[in-house]
Amino acid sequence: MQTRVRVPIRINPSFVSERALSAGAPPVADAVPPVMDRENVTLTGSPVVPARPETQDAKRNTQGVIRDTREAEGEETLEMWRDRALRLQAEIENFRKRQQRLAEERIIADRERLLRAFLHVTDDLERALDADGADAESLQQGVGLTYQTMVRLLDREGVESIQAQGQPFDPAWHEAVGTVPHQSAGAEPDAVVEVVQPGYRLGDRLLRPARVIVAT
Amino acid sequence: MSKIIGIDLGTTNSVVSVMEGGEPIVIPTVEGGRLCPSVVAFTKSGERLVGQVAKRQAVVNPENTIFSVKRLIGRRYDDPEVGKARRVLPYEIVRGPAGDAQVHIPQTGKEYTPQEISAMILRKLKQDAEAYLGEPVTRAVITVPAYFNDSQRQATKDAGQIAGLDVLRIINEPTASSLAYGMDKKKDETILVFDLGGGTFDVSILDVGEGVVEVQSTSGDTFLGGDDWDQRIVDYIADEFKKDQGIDLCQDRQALQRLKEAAEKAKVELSTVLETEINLPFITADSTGPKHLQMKLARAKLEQLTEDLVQRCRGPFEQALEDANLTANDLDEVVLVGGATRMPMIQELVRELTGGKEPHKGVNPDEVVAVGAAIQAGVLAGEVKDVLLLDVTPLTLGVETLGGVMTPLIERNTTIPVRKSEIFSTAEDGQTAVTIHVLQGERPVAADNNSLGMFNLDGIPPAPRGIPQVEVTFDIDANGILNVSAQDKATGKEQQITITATTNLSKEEVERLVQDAKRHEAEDRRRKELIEARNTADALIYQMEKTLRDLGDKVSASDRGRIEQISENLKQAKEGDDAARIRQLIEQLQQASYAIGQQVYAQQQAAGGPQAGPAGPPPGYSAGPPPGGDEEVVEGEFHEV
Repeated sequence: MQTRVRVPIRINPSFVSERALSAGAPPVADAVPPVMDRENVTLTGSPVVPARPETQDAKRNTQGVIRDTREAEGEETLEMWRDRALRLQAEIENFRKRQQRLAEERIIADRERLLRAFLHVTDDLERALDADGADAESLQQGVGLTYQTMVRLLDREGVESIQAQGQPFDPAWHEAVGTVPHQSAGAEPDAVVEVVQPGYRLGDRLLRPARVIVAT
Repeated sequence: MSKIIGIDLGTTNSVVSVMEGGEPIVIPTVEGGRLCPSVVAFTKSGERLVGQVAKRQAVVNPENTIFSVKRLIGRRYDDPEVGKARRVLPYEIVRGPAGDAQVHIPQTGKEYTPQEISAMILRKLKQDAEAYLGEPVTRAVITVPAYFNDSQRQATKDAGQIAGLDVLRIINEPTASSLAYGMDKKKDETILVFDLGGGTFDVSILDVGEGVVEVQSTSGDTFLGGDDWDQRIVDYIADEFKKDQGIDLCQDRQALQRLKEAAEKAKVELSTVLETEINLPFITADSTGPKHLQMKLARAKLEQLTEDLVQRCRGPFEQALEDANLTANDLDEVVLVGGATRMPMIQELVRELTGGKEPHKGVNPDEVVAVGAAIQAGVLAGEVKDVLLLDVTPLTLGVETLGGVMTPLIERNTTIPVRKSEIFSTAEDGQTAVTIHVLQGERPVAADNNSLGMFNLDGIPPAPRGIPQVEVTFDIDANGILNVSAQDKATGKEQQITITATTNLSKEEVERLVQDAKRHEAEDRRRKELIEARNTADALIYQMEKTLRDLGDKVSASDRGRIEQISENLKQAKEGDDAARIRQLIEQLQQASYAIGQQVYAQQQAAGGPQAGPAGPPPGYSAGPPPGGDEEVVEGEFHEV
């Protein structure tokens, strides 16, 4: 079983020299005593004998009450189960809090990753804007390359373009924003004749529907 | 027993929520959204679509796509509201055999009651809930507007039944909203619920006392909502563009679509900033080339454009007060519902109307009603009663460790009862006792935190530093009493301390301490790093001295000299404050130690026989990887045993 060992707790130096001098002697008074100025602080157990919570026998005797063994045992059992139940509930709540925190951290980490990738595209667009004396053609080329970067980025992330142009209209992937009579469009009824805004999918999930004009 | 879900069956959108572990959770649709459009469509291929997918084909199938059916449910055909609806809805509304309003679907040639249409929506919500919960769902609480009459309520209940849900209760939307804010715990108070949704506006005044919520009055405008604000922005942008470029964007379907989206986005942004930009490059083109739209929109301008819409909210508010025989002063609490209430102009209006009262708005306004329904569902399921509210420990608890830092054992906001143990060890060779100093607080340096108590555990058999194992256990019971124990694993000796009153700090005090820690975060971190650097230096120096002793002659005089020199420098550096320098020297010392390690192994191989190699890190402690090894060095205080 793996356990983590922390760098030791340092006791006060004077105690150390005391120990070094009187090897084996019982603790001396100047060993820092438990803080007593706080009320309700109690120190249990003796320094010599391993301290353990009082045994049940001791409890019964000191109470000076003669009790039926079974009754006393029944009470303990109830108390024990109650404590167990509460601890279990607390554990569930703490577990839930941890999971939530982990989930949030994962989400942020992934967002950062994605955003960093986009920064490259921003860089390139800035260069396009700063390009002095560029004619329309070279600007077009530059922007085109930047666009390619963007497309590759999306591709790497699993984003795919939604087939729309010429396809039968499918509301699962397309959003109809207008219609044209199919005769004038020279198309089959229910075919997508124009893609007003391209759509994208992430595997089986719809990222953004393609906005289309449909022939009716 | 299956879970009871809470459903907000809205005019434009529906939301479903359920209690999970004592908290209301909004259940997302299988498409991934938290809102489900209240739209049902009958397609050419005989399919029935519900929700977002139905909405997407509305334009190609207007006569068979039913939305806003809530405007019809439980109403008679002759109802004036139905008349209003007929004028704006693109599908056919007919008179049913009993005089009720029904819809005619050309696609199937049949009539459907609004209950049947709503049932299709409810069925989808039920299925999505089952997918999320992983179990069947058969019972629900559904909300309706406070002004719904018996017929409308019964029809809603019937819709649930058709969908396969046993509707345990129909509750009023404003009542659900107040439940979401825990208003039912109030004694004898008057609550105003101001609900401005996408398409409808409702004002309700409720009376709450002894767990009973009563609706005193309601009023509203069934054709006023956030969508109207969007439209104003669209009109404004289009007008400006026309003035500027002479092109009417409303004629261009593509442009109009983008405009609508940009308008909604701008509206949302202006709820948090005073000015936003609307950027639509390549919005259209004419013979002279592509045209771009770029304009700024200030919140003040938006408010000017929509002032009349805001004014339309006053009337119903006044009416509701009058009907309840109350004045604005009689209102104790105000609850905001509906996305449009996020707009500052609406919040200001509400403040003005209620004489300056601050409205409750912690719950997502689009989800408030569903959340309230889930809470009611939880009460009916007996869940809310049974959930025991456990305390949390408000501040971190831990012990003081080497160098005067606080090592946390139980983090703040951990639910109690809880028990945590960790193993610690000694700092010096031959140390036979440890001091357990129990601390409470958020700062890394022990002295900056609250001391709760202290005790010693002695009788630890003398051993090199880092060898003994002392298990320290923090146990907080359900009453908040902390028991700290320390046990020496070798001898079994144990000491213990009991501390009561660890959770008795007021919220303000706790908050102050947390803020304190945040403020000092940077400097505290530096201090802690310095302490850790010193600790590591200590351990490494000790380690190197031991190694040199053990290796004896195997180390050349020059190497030994070099190492001793670096150690000396490190010893000096760690008395100072320059953590970076200390780390630098640690690195140097480590490098030097690898070098002699390599050397010694080379010698061994040359000698051919097994020799005592450099003493590896004593079991239980290492300041650096064993020469040639690749064990991870953990800087600072700890390592794996």
